[in-house]
Amino acid sequence: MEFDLENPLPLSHDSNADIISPLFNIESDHMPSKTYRQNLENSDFLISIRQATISIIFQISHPFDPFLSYLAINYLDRFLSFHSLSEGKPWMLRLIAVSCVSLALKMKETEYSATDIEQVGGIIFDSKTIKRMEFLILSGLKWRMRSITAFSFINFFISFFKFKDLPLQQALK
Amino acid sequence: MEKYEKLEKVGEGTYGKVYKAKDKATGQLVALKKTRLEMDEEGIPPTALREISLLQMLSNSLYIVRLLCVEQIDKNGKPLLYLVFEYLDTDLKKFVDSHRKGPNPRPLPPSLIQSFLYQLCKGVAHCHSHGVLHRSILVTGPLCFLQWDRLVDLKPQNLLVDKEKGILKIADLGLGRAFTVPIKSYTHEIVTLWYRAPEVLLGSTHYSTAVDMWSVGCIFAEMVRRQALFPGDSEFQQLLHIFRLLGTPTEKQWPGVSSLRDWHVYPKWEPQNLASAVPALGPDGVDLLTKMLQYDPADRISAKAALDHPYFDSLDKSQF
Repeated sequence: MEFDLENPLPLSHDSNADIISPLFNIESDHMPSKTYRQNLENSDFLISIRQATISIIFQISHPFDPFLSYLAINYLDRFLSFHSLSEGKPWMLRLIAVSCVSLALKMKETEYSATDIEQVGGIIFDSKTIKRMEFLILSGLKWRMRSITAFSFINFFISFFKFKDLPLQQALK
Repeated sequence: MEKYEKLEKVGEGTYGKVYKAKDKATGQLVALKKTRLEMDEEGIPPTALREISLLQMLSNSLYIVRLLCVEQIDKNGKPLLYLVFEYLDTDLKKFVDSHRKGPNPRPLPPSLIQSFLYQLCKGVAHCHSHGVLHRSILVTGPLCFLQWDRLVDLKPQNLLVDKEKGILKIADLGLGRAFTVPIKSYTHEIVTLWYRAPEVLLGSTHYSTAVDMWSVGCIFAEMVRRQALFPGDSEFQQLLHIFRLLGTPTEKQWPGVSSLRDWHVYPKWEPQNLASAVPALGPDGVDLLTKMLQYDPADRISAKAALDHPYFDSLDKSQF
């Protein structure tokens, strides 16, 4: 079953289950470390690495749906928050970006092939290299790939709003 | 993998060999499960990735065996995955067996049964709240894979026990399709039917979390009796075991039962007194068991509701 950012739990469409409280409990397992934001503010180097990698992620994930880029960036932020890079060689950032997108693709799509990722920009990695990088990211993220993100809570919070305009509420949902 | 010292092979899990091992640095005992998963050119397969991450998400409960980490090794150039779990010294089947046979046969202490059942309901409630339910083993042909990728296979062999601390945890969770080989041909072991809910046996295509509560009821009775409640050796025999004790289900009791795919005309047995099957159990326990063994899945008690049942009133819940 494909992973769905809005419904991160396998049967969460099951309406009678109290699905929201477990989400609150496990959300923090899927977030960057607490100091990550501060580290970003204090380090131009980290910011530039993050920006460069995100722009590669956008480049290679644009043929897919936007959730995919979002998920890949979640992986990236968590990876960067636990794994400090001493230098930001362009090929390294590209490899991280390709691996984050590849992992996100595997979580989201039933049919997957590494060749689905268009490796533009000159450097082409062989599958063995991507495989190793994927594994490094998986270990860093402790294999917690079912990210609980803001998307998981949208429906919950929308249900609190009292809209006069019912069609608008439906549209938002 | 040099981090661990293999001590002994402790079993053959549904998806590969299991070793007891020691973390050389910390001395911590772990269970190493070698998966039969071979990674190809594409790296970790998507199904395995989804299932391990599901397992990882569930293992934040005290009542689920904790997945400590995942290790990858290269064996003759082929990458293999090992799942590293916390180690518990026995399982519920061995534990109950040791109370039935061996040098000192004796019943399980009622307070221990109560505590184990409470922990089991906690674990099942945790899985259900995360949208994970029973593995539906649909073995219909020689090459039939599990069709569901979220699962709890509830049977005493899959409940690990720490004898000293009186802890019970659900194990062998979550690994469905990615690791599953056709069950029969791989392990040559007959899949146990003893804990299987009647709607599954009757070929219902819509399962709910209630299938797990049936299993929990069977496990509850087994702890009291020290032997299985419904030890069938075929799906047909399994149904007859159930019907002989609980009576053949009627449309009135269970609307829609006679239109289930595998329903046949069965002898009409009258329900027996359930208390007589579990003579050592008090009235509250029998009431809870009755609620777990309701024919109509819609009538069966949920794991969450079971936790509030009067049977647990005398249990010190602050320890959980």
